[in-house]
Amino acid sequence: MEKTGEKEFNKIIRAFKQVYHEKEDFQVPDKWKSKAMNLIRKDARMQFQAGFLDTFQRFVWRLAPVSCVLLLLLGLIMSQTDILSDYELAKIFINDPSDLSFITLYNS
Amino acid sequence: MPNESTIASDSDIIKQVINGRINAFESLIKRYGDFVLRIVKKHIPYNEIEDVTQNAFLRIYQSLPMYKGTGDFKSWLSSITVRTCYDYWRKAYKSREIPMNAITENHQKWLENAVTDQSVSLRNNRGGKKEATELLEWALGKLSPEDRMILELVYLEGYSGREVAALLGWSISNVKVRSFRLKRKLKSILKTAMKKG
Repeated sequence: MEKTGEKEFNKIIRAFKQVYHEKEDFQVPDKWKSKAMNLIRKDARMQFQAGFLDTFQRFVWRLAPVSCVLLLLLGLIMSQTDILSDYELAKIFINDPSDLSFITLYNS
Repeated sequence: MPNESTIASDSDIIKQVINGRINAFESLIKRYGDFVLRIVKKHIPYNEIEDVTQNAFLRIYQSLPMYKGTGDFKSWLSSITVRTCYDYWRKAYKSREIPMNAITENHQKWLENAVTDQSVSLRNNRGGKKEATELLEWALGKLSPEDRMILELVYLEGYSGREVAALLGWSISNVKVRSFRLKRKLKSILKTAMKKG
């Protein structure tokens, strides 16, 4: 190879070319096509799931300020209305047996 | 016999796939399966051809939204396929899973004949088809994934620098410099093979 010049190199490359192109003749069974489709369907499913999670997360963050405002509004409403008196009334009603018997009488 | 109106065009199928009709992709596999397989067969070892072809189609599917429809669809497909093969070799090179044959006296004899003979005929194994194949695989195994792709695409398939640059997404000057250096490297590899025998 010491004396290998361009001509000799090209000869070797020509021989290599021949065996290289013969690789095309190798037979591959057709089942790879259905396998490829399965792989693609699986990928599409994964993409859909990832897309759904992504959208869900985006909505959660968008709804966060809305829920904060709603909480504030609810607090405001609760402080304005007289919820405590209703609670006290219910407590008395449950603790008082005479009222209870009255209800039983009324129901029968 | 289907007429022109019943055969969906590539762009129609691509639109359908992008809009979520994944099964339409099967038509693309039927239409271009053999074309993609032919490319893979030349670059990848026999036992990995199926897997790499499947991966190439998966990549084609994932890249479909990026296809602008301006160029030739076949060229676009071959570019993705060649890049998938290149990635296969990069991965194999990193994990050092490249098979290496040993150089025997027969290989050395074949090389000497190839250099001295007027013509090297490989029509049958008397011409040393087996030795030539093994020697080519051995030489390719000595090269980096980049050089391997250049040797296969430029020297063995005869693509121009511009075409290889488009296929691999490299610059033309990168391809030219690499192919120039590769020639020297390959000569030295073959010289070593002759000495080893």
